[in-house]
Amino acid sequence: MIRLWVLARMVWLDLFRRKDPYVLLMVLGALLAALLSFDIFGLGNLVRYLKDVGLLLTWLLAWVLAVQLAARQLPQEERRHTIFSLIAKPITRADLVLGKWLGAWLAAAAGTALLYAATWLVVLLRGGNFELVTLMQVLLLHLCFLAFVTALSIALTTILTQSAAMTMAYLLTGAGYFLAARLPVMATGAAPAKTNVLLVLYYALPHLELFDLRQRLVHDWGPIPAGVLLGILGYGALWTAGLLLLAWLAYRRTRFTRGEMT
Amino acid sequence: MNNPIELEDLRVEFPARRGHPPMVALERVTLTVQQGTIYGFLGPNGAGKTTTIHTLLGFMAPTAGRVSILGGDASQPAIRQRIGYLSEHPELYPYLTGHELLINMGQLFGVGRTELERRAAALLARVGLASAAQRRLATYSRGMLQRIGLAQALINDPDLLILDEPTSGLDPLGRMDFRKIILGLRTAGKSIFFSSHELSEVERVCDHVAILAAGRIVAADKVEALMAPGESLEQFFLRMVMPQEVQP
Amino acid sequence: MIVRATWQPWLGLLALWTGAFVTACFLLHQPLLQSGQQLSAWANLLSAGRAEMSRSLYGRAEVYFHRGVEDRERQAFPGYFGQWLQAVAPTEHRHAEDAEGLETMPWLRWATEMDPQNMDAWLDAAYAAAYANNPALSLKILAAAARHNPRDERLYAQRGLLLLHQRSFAQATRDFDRALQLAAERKTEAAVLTQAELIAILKNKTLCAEMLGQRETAMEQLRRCVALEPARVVTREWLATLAAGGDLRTDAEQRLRGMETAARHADPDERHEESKP
Repeated sequence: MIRLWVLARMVWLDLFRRKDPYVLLMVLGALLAALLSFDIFGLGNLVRYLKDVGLLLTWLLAWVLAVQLAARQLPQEERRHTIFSLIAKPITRADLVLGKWLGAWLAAAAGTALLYAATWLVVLLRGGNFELVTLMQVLLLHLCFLAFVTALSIALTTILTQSAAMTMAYLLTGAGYFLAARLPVMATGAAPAKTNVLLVLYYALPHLELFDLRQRLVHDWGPIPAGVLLGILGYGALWTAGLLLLAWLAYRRTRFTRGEMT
Repeated sequence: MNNPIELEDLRVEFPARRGHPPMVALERVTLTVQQGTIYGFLGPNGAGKTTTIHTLLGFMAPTAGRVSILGGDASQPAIRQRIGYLSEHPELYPYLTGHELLINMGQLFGVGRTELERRAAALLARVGLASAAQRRLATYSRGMLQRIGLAQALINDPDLLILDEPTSGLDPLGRMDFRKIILGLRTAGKSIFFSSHELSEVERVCDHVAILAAGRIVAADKVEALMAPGESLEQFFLRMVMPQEVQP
Repeated sequence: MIVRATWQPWLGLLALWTGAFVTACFLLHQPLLQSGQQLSAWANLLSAGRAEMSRSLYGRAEVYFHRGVEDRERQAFPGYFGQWLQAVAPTEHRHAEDAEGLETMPWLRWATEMDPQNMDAWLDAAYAAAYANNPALSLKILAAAARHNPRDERLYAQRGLLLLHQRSFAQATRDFDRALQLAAERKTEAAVLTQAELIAILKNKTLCAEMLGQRETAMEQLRRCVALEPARVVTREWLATLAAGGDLRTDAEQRLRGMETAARHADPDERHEESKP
């Protein structure tokens, strides 16, 4: 376990010493400042749109952060040749994959928490607030989403180059978020064969829209039932575990040689 | 007791790629490193020294032959627990400080924090980096990276030290420190296997030497047994790797 | 050896970014002259896409009016995850009430910024302001709409209604006349006001005339209503009441209060639709 934490800690230090989260924070701050400067018919105390746009930007930036961070872990070790120093240590390939994932997830989660805090601050300055229990649920599910995204990105880097893995991660998470929920609608009026294909896709794709509670927070709809929350968290945990298992299976047979992987 | 390193008829072949035929990197490489000795591994550039070391450490699988390290297989974490390794041109983590590198690497070996702090301080002093311990590795010179690389290879107090070109980038003072360190390790009963181009260093510290050329062992014996009377190791080396050339 | 950057490049970067940001803000709010027609920088950048963007932003305002509940489309199979999604996404049919309606304003504002010809956005914004008891803001919005759409009868009809509720009957009458005039001038273009809406304008004009003590004018409007909708008994009765004499203002006041009460208690969906005259 200590080995996992050491590897995770190294990822954490990499992220915060490279100052990536601060750049995202500045981007968020700049966008929210631009938003605040826009005149809404002279009305100054509207907060719902601020919450909505702020949370949307938080989600987008966190998504980018998670994919970028996770997708560079293993390729960066190989590129720097520090992979030799690592695998000469008494750690297994599973330790390496898990440790890198843990570090990427925790670092992305910390960066995301900073973004949420910045959005909350702006909303507070405008006289609004977030309902606490709903906010906790939103954050919890978002962290579960990030666990999935980082696991997916790391799994893809075991079989693809870094840039290809990042592209595929964006595409697959996009499909999981936008497409999965729409499949039952697309099947309306379709031929039975097509409906069956869409049904298979419906259960095969990850349903990432389940992790997005933003609208409940923006429009003060209150928290979701605990049973649903636990169910979605369990679903996310299963997907994450499955992806990490695939990553380990792919990585355990990887052989390294200076200059190229075999 | 098992010999720390035993290679028997080792063959490593890289498969064909993108129109290139398969490449045989090592052919029938056989050598034995005895306990408590310093073994020098020489060869011209591209001879296969690093490939041998990578195969030894399990980074790649041999095509044929037997590899034994500390009586077992490097794929076992328990074996790697007892090995210290310094790679050729160590590229370490630029965002870590020297001290943090040693602590992190030491923790991967499962060394306790208190003991680790003691060892890290001692090693940093030993390699002459005590004053640079809190600086990030990105600010280190080539020689400093080599020294901190050596320190991280020693953090677990290994039984077997495998070093790939350890004196590369070191100034004469650094090379002297390196000699002191590995001679001290031999006195303590450790085994050291290192590859190098610094023939004068090899001649001064090694008990045994093997010379690799084009993937094959062309000579392997005790240092004094290899050379003809009055012949330096460099002359012997050149004679072995380029016999057809007229030696200066 | 890596040389650490000092603070000067960061300051330079901040200065460059600030300059770019200020320039962008300036450009986006300056009209760019183009063959006699002044178009905003947004219009020039996005061309026909701005109308689509404006519709999309207006759609977002509609979602806000329904407190985040989006339209549910028909599904071929229920899907297990759909049950969870029902719990995650708000589904209850509710509407923004009173000042909550103002939360739709940002999206309506951006819709009008994208496409100043999006009358639905202007009218909804004016209505939301009026419904939140901010008639001054409503008038300000309609004035802004009129600058971009001077020949759209809907905004005069809306403004007339607002002025009617504010008891500015003479000004309201002028706006209702303008609305009817513009509607009549639409010969080849598709009408934007339905017959029911035209009748509503005439009835509002009737109320104004009654409040101003102009019986004949009031009766004239009702005759026009009857001509458009002969079967409507209520209108005939109203005309008969006016013809019989009696206290013009008292009757009109009662009708006006009745109209305002009905509007306050109407179904929000109906109110939302009725916001468009």
